[in-house]
Amino acid sequence: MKKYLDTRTIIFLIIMAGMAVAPFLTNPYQLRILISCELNMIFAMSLNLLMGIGGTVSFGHAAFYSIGAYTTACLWYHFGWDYSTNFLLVVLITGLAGLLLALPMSRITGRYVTIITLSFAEIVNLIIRNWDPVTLGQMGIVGIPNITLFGYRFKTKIQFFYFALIFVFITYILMKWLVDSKLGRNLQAMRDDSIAAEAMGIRLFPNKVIVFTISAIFAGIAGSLYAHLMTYVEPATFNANLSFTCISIVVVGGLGNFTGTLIGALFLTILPEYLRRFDFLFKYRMIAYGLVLVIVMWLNHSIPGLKLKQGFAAFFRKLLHRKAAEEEV
Amino acid sequence: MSLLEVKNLTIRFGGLVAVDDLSFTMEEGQITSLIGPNGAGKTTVINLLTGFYTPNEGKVILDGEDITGASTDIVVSKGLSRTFQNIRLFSNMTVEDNILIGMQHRIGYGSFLSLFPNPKKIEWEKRAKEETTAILERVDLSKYRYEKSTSLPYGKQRKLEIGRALVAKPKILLLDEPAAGMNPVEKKELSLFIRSLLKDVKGILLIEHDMKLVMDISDKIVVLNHGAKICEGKPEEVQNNQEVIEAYLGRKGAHNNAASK
Repeated sequence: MKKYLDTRTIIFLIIMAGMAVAPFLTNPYQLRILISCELNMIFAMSLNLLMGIGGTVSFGHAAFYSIGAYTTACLWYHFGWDYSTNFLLVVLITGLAGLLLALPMSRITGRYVTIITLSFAEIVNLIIRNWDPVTLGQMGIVGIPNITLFGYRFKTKIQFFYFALIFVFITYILMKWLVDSKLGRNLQAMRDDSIAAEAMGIRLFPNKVIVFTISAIFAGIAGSLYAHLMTYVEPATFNANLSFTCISIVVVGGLGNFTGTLIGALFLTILPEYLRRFDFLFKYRMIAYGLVLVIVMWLNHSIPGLKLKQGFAAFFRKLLHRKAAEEEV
Repeated sequence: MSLLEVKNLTIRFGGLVAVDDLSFTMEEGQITSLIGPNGAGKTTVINLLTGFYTPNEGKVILDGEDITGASTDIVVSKGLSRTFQNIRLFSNMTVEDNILIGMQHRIGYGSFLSLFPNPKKIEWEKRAKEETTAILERVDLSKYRYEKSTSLPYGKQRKLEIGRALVAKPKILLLDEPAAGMNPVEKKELSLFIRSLLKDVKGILLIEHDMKLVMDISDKIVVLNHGAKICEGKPEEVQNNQEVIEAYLGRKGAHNNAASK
């Protein structure tokens, strides 16, 4: 039976409650990592909408993140605007960028879409690198202040933490509303079988445009928060690694599972920080990402809930079988 | 006036004429079957009717309205709904969601109102759930409501696909080989079920290879060969048509068949 409070919602509420008390239990360094977690949560949820619900594998999601970060940074640098106005422009500009990327989707499908997203990210990065008058090119923009809302500047990172937490909450709820609506169902139908979806009267292209736009907006919001957290932005940050980290988070959490994405973001943001103390491990963290991806794909696409248990069971059964088979030989 | 009128429908793929100057009509309250040997162009005809292909020539008139070359979403809203030869369910979605997709064009709120709760969305979702309950009752799948669609046994998947097409409230239901892969008992049950569907829709266009099923339930049969119509009429007329027998058995086979009678 379908219940009002399902397991995923309960886990989500537990995570939110845990995050809400976290600032009282952590030192500034840990708090900073938790803020990174929050940004990754928003970022990865936006990608999960595109990948898990929309069925489009994007290797260039960092593009929207960087557009969001640079929009707010440039507006601050050139005009001194505060975040309340910057936010609206971030939404507008990243939304338009998402729309732009969606335009070729009327003609191409499948793996070609992935290639297009990859090249889109490279193009965006090249523009940021070379548009010196606006983005200051390779130097990056330095000294971005903490978030300012209607003239009130946040004084501590704790305020920033709660501000970002509100965004995590809003993003999650919006995604949940979207998935449980006509639009969400239509997107999932297109993901599962585009021909059958078309036969049911779903117009593919407009829906693709909508999902790209919404996804881009939330990635942009995460990026804009990033700029204010780090106080500087430079082109090198927004490389392909960022996109791949984001994909890892989504896949670890499970495609289409937003609660899983939150857990994946916590896991894959805290783990590398923890590994930092073992220097040789930190160096090879991208290998660890790759390994985690492979293992999780193997374990049935999803971490939270029962599937993990079944996945591990299957994993060990496979191992045992292999051993038995080898012994027989 | 006929329910569906197909006039001189033609489509060419390069040099191949897949459907050649096809004309037939469907009457209200009847099951019309489209048969023919493999590669005769039956599925192409369905693709033409439902807007997947645009015909090079000819007209499709549904209940007095010209729907020639209309896109799929318009065709669905005008009242043509289809199933597929190889079952095409939305595999990662529940049975309920599959039905809801079938009625999506009748749900009266758009993409923007999908993003947040509002009275219109809540009301439509409630109505949609009620209709889903009714249609699941109709196709006898109520107890599978929250199951994943692909976890159903084969026969139930067929029924779900028909339910999904039915919930769109079509005037004409297009069934593309619904009996494929079924055993005789299931086929028997299916033919009764298809017959009963005439209570829900005005007409049914059936494509099927199982001749017993076709002869049992059709009011009218259209026979295609190499994209062209070779015969049209009641089951018994078609059965005795020399050209039809030749198309299925070949000239020599037809000769032997006549001799053995």
